Amino acid sequence: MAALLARLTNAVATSKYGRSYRDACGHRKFGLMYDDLLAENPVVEEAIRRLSDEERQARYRRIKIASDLTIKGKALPKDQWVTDETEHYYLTPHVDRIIEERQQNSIFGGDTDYNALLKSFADQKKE
Amino acid sequence: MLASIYSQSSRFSRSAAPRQRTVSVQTRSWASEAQKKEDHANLETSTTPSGIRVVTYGTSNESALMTSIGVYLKGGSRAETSHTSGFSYLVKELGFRGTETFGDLAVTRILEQFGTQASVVLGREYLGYALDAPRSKIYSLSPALGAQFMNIDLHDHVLRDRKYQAEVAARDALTSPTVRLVELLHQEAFRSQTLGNSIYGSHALVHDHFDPYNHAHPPATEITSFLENQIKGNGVVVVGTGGIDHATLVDHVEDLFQGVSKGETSRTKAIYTPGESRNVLSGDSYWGLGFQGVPLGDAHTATAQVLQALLGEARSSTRDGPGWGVTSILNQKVMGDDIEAMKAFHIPYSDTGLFGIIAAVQPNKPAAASLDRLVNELNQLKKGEISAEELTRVKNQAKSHLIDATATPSQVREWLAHNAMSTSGNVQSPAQVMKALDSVTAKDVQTLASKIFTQPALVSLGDAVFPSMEQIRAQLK
Repeated sequence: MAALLARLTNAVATSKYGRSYRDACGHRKFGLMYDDLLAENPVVEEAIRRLSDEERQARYRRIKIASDLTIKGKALPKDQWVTDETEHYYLTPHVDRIIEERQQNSIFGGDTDYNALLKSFADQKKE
Repeated sequence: MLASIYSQSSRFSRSAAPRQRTVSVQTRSWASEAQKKEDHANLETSTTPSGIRVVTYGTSNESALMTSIGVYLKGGSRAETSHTSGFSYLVKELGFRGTETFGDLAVTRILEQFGTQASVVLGREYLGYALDAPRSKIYSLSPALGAQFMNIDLHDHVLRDRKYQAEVAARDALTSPTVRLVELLHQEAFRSQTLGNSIYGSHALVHDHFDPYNHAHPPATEITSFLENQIKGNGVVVVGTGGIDHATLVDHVEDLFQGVSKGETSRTKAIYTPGESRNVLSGDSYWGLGFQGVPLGDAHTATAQVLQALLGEARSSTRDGPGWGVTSILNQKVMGDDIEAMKAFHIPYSDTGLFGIIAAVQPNKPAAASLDRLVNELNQLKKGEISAEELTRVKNQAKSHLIDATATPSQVREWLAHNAMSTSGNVQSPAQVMKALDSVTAKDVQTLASKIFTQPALVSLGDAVFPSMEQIRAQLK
């Protein structure tokens, strides 16, 4: 069921309806990417720390430009809007990894099967 | 090796006296029955089809509950070029951290759950990863060792974080005058090449700041390439101590290193080309005098150990008891009110060695007189004036130092790895090396002293007045 739902969601997201929805959200006309909008909780803060200097500076530049435009009540010229082709989910992989690490840390204690965890070191190598 | 050379205190400390690691002896942890026998029977070596050397040492004595396995790559700071200077030290910081799948804390928790102690050792000729664990758990931990080579987390932020940690560690290490003197002596003895490369990277030694890639961190591709260059069959040694079964370890090694091909990282011969380095700094003054030593596996390696023990160490600030160099030449004949501490060391490498004497000068005292006294004693050694009683004392002390340095499975493991990595022939057992020590004669010591105390390298730190290297060479008759 979950797999079917995922397939359906993906189908909608990659269709013209999905594209129209993303364009209509409003952030793209200010030059912002989706990951620029993630609320800065501890996980996102750590993800921002893990960015390279260039990525971090680019993020700050986009946010600064968007803030300036919002104050002035303007938007970027249409040819400078973010599109599906220029969109780059630069923060999401880091967020996913941090969540995974925290989940790993939370499983310790209780009935953790350490032998299985050790064995998975070997499985990583064989993959 | 490094832990035994480099002191943690601001002046030289007894616990960190440099010790030559070419001589070994049976450890106290084995049963007395085993100690009565020739223990070279407990040393087993073999080579896998891919060229990996596997060495095990120890008995199946149940009293040895703690075992140790280490994987050593032939590389170290010697394998670095000007472009990769400091890479080994950075890679050392990556050891037993997160992998592609597990974060730092997860890896640590898994290993600690089994009572494991993990360590990464960096020498001038090798990089080693070791696990010390209870005997019942050691084999199940081998995948964790393999992950160090197959699956290190090399994300950008990880390299940035590790570089920062390496900076802090290198800066702390280089505040020790002992560390700095030995690093500078290597630099001057081998002209900043091969063994002259600093373990902390050339930038750290010159600019007091660890910076392997000029204000950035090396990209993951270059780190990977640097490591892959060292993971070649003939350049890998796996050592197991504390009752590890040899055949079982070989099976684990073959499984861990399935994809490793035969071959060996090429190594430029280290040529002793002595030089001089003066570092005028405010604060305390130090000097170091270096000579070309003896390589591992050489017929005179044991003699060099005896010679180093003969010179020994000296310190003015504490009242030392028996066994800590009170009757050594440095303490009896070279020590004076112008010297705070001094010690001799010998570090053998695969194709050469470094024999050195380092000293801390008392504040506001000139350094020339102490160097004159030392040179005078070195000349006496070259004349062969060593009594039989003195020789016996020194040999016994050398043997006891070796027992001390190889008392635990992990210490024996590192000692064996150093020997196995550096010599292309058979690895000697501790008993064989002890025999070699016993057979050293006064004539051997005189011959070796005459050979090595000729071309000095000189290093000085501080604002005291030091003689030149040429003046010292002229005095060495």
